[in-house]
Amino acid sequence: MSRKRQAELVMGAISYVFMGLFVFSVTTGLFFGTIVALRADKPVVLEFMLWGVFLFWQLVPILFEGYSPGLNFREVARYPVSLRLYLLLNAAYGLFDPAALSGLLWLASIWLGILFARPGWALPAAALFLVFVALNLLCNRMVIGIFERFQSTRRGRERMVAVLLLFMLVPQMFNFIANGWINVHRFHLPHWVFDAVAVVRSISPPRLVLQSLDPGETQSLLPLALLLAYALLAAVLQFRQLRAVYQGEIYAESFKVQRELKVKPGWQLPGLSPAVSAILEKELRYIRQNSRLLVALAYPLVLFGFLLLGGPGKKMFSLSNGGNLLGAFAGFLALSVSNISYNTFGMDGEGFGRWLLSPLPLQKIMRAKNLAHGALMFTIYLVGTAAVLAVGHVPPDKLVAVTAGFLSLLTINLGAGNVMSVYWPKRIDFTKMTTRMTSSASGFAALLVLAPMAGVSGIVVFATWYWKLSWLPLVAGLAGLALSLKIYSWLLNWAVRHAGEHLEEISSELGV
Amino acid sequence: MPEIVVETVSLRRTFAGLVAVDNLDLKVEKQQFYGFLGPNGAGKSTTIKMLTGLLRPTSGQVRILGLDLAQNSVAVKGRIGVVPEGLALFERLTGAQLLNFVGRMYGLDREIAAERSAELLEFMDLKDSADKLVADYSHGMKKKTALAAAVIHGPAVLFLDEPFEGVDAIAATTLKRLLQRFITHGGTVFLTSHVLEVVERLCTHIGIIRQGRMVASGSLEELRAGVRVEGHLQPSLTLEEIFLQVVGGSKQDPEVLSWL
Repeated sequence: MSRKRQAELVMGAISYVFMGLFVFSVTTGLFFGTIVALRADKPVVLEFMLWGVFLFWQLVPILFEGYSPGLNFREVARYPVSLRLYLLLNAAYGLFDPAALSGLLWLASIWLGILFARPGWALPAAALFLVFVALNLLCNRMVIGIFERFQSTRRGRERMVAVLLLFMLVPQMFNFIANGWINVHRFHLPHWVFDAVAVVRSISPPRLVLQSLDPGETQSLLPLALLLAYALLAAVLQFRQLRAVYQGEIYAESFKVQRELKVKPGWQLPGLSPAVSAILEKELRYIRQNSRLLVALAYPLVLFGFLLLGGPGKKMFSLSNGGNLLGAFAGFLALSVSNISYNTFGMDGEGFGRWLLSPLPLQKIMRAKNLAHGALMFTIYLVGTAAVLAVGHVPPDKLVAVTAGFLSLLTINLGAGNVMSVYWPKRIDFTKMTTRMTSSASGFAALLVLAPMAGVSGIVVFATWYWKLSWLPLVAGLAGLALSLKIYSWLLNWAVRHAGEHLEEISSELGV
Repeated sequence: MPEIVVETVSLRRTFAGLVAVDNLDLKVEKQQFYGFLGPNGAGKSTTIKMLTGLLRPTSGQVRILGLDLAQNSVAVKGRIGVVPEGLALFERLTGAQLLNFVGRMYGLDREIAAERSAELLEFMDLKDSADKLVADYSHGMKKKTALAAAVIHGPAVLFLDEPFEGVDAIAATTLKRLLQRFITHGGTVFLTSHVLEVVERLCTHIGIIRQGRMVASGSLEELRAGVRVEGHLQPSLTLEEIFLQVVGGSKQDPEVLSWL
């Protein structure tokens, strides 16, 4: 067994232990929580517990499916199974999902808590929980079915990756709020939002379970009827969905038929040769299609927006001295250059062979790619700069110094990225959440490249502050820019030499 | 004297001690339609990769259009067109964008590149999918796109690795039409294929490689004259019979898969 595989197994075992501990802790917590809530005569707590189970059961399998697509259940319909067996297998498969098993365990522990604290509720609670389990199972399988339908086309898979990536930013937003980076007092939600939430809550399955269990004075059977209606509706929809799959429902990419063919001439950028313009156009079109990369590139701007709008950001970087804020943004933006430049052929995949077949030297191709990536990063920098200038003041010498410093960092990063790209190329799959933009080795190497640059920048900032050398950032920035061009040229030649000697390995890594 | 456009001298390539191509000498003349045949793993794709600059030879020389490939790779690449094994397409571009891009890579003016892209898409029956990403094309459509990309700059020599593999009859007819037109207009084609009927119908000259070595080469008539198959009194052998005789592949079915 390879060392990498061993490490993966160990990491897998550790993560299973942690997941087991999590499930066990929640189980225990729900059991005692139920007892305490019922003894304190606060059954509404049970509703929130059921909400937890409901959300976990519905959302976690989707996240797991996005990260590591398991068995696509649609495939099972290809085997010689009857429709009835197919329906049963689908339900069984859903019940043995780790999230479903956790949900079942948690419901069982809530039920045991009810048995201890309020034995009179135990029997109706068991029946209601069974309906709740059926509803959860049916809803989850239906959502997964829709998910699999999305996943069956290339475009659907990519859109799903984008949605999941944005979804993953939500916890980070909460983190920002918790740390005071986003000033929540600035955002006042309109009243109708709260009203809408109240309506949704009143007809939600967890609420209906609780109302059926504890109807209060009204003794209305409406909540139970609504809960059963939900379960019935989910069963009918699930049946229709599975029957369609069983009968051979096929989803494929569709496209508009072009009535009149007219190919638009490509870009011709001023001062650039047709070939370099073509490479720039191709690179920017590729980047536009990579939702993962777009999120990574937008991230510094979003964070910067928080810094600019949020209270603590204002305190940390006084807007009257916007130079510091701009410097922080430039540094943060420089960190994200590796996303785009440290695996420059990764997005091309088998298209790498086209570069080798083309009548252009590899040096020219890499330089054109760097130009495209550098121009994009500099555009992001300009957007950030415009935002700073709109809200604060940056002295002209600081503006030039920070811009020169950013360009130096960018140039060296692009040069280093060329070397990484040919030493550790990695094919990028746009449709997988797990695909990294660069190889692990490149990721570590990026830190080694950035550390000395951060060190030099730090020394310049410190010396400027300590000896009050206001001219130093400007001189250091301009000198850094001149030096970075020399280093870039040296790194590019190194990369091209290495690529020439290892074409086969690079091609094989990229799947040519 | 006929002009030699593709020539190899003692071409050799090894992979970790394994010999893939062994002292290969071949010559292809201008306007020849050269079929390069061999069983799986014989070294066809390795050879074509070395002829097009995708793979460096371990030793030996490659001359294309009279130029040494190692010394003049950029100049040679500008005058050849290639459909490699993996097609080497930028699949995240649409068909129209890809052809337009490739044309400009070869130095075509942007207007001419757009014009030729449109013509090729029309010719290849890809008009309706011109604005669709190549990633969403079928295998046959990708093959046609790769061939269009290989000819957009008007090359002198075309290298095609299994151009008919996995394409339907309609697409194959389109490809054949294009290749015959290319030959008629003075081009030279070097192709590998497993479809012997197609090679027999299209190719004027054939080379057969086995275990990295050239075991037969010449025109179909020359090959027929050089091979005698048991049981055939007349010399008009099919290419398949010649091929099986040369590579030693005509084995009797042993007692295997008796259950099938």
